[in-house]
Amino acid sequence: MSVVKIHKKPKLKNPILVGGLPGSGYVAKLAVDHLVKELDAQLLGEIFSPAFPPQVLVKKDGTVELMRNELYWWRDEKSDTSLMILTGNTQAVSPEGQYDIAEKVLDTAEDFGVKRMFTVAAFVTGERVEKPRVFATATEPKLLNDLKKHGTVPMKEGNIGGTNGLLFGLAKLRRIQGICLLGETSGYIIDAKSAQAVLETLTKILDVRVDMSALENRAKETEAFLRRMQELTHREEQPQPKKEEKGLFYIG
Amino acid sequence: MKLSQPVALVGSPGLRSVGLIAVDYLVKKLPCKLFLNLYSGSFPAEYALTPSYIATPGFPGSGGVALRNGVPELPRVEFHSWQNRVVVIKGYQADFEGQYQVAETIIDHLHRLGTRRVIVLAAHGKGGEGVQCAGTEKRILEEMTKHGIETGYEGPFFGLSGLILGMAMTKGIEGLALFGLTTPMPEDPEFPDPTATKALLGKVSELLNLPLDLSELEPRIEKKTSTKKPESGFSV
Repeated sequence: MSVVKIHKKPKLKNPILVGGLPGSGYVAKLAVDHLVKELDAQLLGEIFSPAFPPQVLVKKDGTVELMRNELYWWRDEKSDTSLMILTGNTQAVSPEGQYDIAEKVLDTAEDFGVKRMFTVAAFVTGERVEKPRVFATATEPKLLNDLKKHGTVPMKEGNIGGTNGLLFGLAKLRRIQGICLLGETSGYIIDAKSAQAVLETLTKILDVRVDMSALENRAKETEAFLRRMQELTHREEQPQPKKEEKGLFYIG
Repeated sequence: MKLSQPVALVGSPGLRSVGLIAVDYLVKKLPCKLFLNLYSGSFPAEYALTPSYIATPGFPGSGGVALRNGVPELPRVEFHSWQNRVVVIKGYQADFEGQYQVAETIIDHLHRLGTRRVIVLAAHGKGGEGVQCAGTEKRILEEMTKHGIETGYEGPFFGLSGLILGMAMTKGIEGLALFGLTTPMPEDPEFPDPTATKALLGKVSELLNLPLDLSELEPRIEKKTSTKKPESGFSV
């Protein structure tokens, strides 16, 4: 169904897969895109699928791009840490397509020697979140204790929908060690604050240094937007002057 | 069919039917010769959801034929030619399963014909009048600026027309989209807008130097009523 086009075959030593496709609040995509940008990760391959939405994206400059998922690679020459990073401008829409993409990503990851992976997702509360927590779940229960040391909250029940969840679930079947980190979000906004929280946890676990300032600025914008929304809601909730009272101020 | 590095003009059912009316008009007025039909098991005769250009998984619609003058006709994509330099394609929206396959098949065929540029004719629902563009390369957009056509839309371009543009890129064919500005009608998104079509075709004939008389466009379209009220019934 879907097609994986590999552009480069870099030699990676025990690479770790990090996946984050667009989903609720764009938490996963924002976090992973920031990681790609700040690490200056290189394009490894692209995935095209008829299960992606049948459309193209017209960008701000008027040029178009196909719907696609992308795989990037990065290697830290000092520590020997290697990453394969999955991102994209969409997720497959149908469940068949989501399974297909997740399997193809894992096939490719295994070809490069991946034995450990992280997926990023959103933990949707439906309510405004002041300080987003990071929830964690893992393919092996013993990993959860280690994750607690990084300040995460164990997520024990619930669903993780879409390709981000399937990657994690299918990894277990392949005996790839998998950890899913979920940023708490209302789900109603593009949530850079939640993305920052989850990326801080991820980079701490991976022991990778990433400059967060661009994401921080976006998070501040998110906060400012939320404050404006709160002010507007507050204003609407205030009792409005009656029409007769208004009339007293105008004589014509 | 002998064609010399043709330019392909593609219009499909879409917003205010601007692209579809445009290709119908080109076929009739140039006039063009039909040289190929493309059929697909993914072409519904009746859509489960509207508009037709937003395909959703799990809603394939219903197969069937349409009757024209008492004769059954399968849904199809039509390839027409004018002289040896223009291909006009009348598109059809497939269900979710078929959209990519149909777009790819069309582009494969255009590639075999030696097509150098695909121009997709569509609409942008921002209101007002005029024509805007999008393209596969910045160079093409700069070329359009000389003709007074600017970019102005950012976001998803749905359905076959959008995919044609994307698939053209994969085959190294230049892709340009021209959008006639129109006002959306949420209650009947594909209701024809002849004014936007006329503006669009005006630019097309300028770009390709086509001997196109646009005077018959508006009266012919005005006879049409809502696309939701076909002349004949649908039965299964």
